[in-house]
Amino acid sequence: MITAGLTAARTSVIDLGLGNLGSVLQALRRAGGEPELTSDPAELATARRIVLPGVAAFGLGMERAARFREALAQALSRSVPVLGICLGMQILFEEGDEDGTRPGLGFLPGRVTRLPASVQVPHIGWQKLERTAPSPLLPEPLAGWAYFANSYRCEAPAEIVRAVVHHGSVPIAALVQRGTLFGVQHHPEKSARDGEALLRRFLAQ
Amino acid sequence: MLTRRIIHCLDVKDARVVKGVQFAALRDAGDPVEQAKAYGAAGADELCFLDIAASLESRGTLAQLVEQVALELSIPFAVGGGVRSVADAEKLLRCGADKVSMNSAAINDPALITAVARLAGSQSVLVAIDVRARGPGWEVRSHGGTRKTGLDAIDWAREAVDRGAGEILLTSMDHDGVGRGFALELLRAVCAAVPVPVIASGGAGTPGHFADAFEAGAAAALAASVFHFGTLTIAAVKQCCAERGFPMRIDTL
Repeated sequence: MITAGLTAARTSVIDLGLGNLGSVLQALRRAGGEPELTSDPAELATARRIVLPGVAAFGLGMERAARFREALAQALSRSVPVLGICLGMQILFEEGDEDGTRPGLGFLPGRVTRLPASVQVPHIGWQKLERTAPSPLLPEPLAGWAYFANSYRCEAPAEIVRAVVHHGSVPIAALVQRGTLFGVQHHPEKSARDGEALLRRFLAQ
Repeated sequence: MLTRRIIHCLDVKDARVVKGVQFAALRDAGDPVEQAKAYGAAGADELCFLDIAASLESRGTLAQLVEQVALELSIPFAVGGGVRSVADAEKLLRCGADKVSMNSAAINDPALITAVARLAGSQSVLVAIDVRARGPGWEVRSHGGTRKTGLDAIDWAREAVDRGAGEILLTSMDHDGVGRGFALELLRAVCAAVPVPVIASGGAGTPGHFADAFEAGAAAALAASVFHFGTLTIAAVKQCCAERGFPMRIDTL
């Protein structure tokens, strides 16, 4: 049983100075959380949960996120729930192909590659998530609507993938999980009711 | 499979919605936040705020509007009108816009498209193209359609995408406001020429017109007046398109 007090405990949202932080903060509030923006890695030491948002290019995201690597590693070793959103998910992986090959934070196995020219790129719009394995963020088989806006995808091993979408014939990992580390390729903060439900479940972790 | 999107466009001036529909529940029909929430609840997949004044004074209030809307709206939205520099685009994106739309400024300085795409990613860069039929093809117009540019619409769409545009918002001025359907021949030509999503705009009058646009290859279709004036509901449009076989986001409840 999750009490209101626990749900409301501090959720740190990492400020990389990129993208749409206001929307993420407000969506977390609508979902019942009390998010706090942080640009200081030391503050993650007391975080109950951590959200890593971001909309930009992989290289720029990594440039800004590198100084959080150690604090994130420590948080994960304490089993603190961490959620990467869109670029924030992509930089959790080992490396990315945007603007040449660049190393990522390396918390998840796999690499980030540009969607093939055989499909429309960018991949923009709404799709229903296809759940491939149960996750606390997707307890029901019918996983709901998700809004995507991405030109790259995470090529992740099946054991960490919890939901996918298919863009034409190309599978895109939509939700990945390893321990308390979660990543979503779509934007739950822009995915109306179903996005809010996913954030609420993350806040219950 | 991606669903086809229905985008509702709201004209704003001095941070107020002009031509806002009279939703019964709204306290203030000109309030962009109230309007945005109502259209979100009505099933719009995305919103587009177009600053029709696009003046220097207006740009300051536009950023405030974007900030307010971003705090309340749980679907994506684009903002356009008067985006003339990377700094303008960056400000709107930082205030919470998901996409910025550029038109005349991109024609004057195509490098602007690349600069904004580098900053925010192509998925946040929408290039709006207003065209009129000319001889066998179509000519791009700028400055709200008032100036001829001499540019061929297909060539310009290709160039905009090569420079980093993630979507093309294509408005046929010949069809806009007439309500007899989108410019299907133009849509087919542009969709065949560029690999990115194309948003059809100008001419919606019936639910079937939206399905026609999707048949011509559009990833999304945008309308203003038919929704403003309550001629059509988003639900009816989506229902019709689904019956014509297009995947739509319908069970939003």
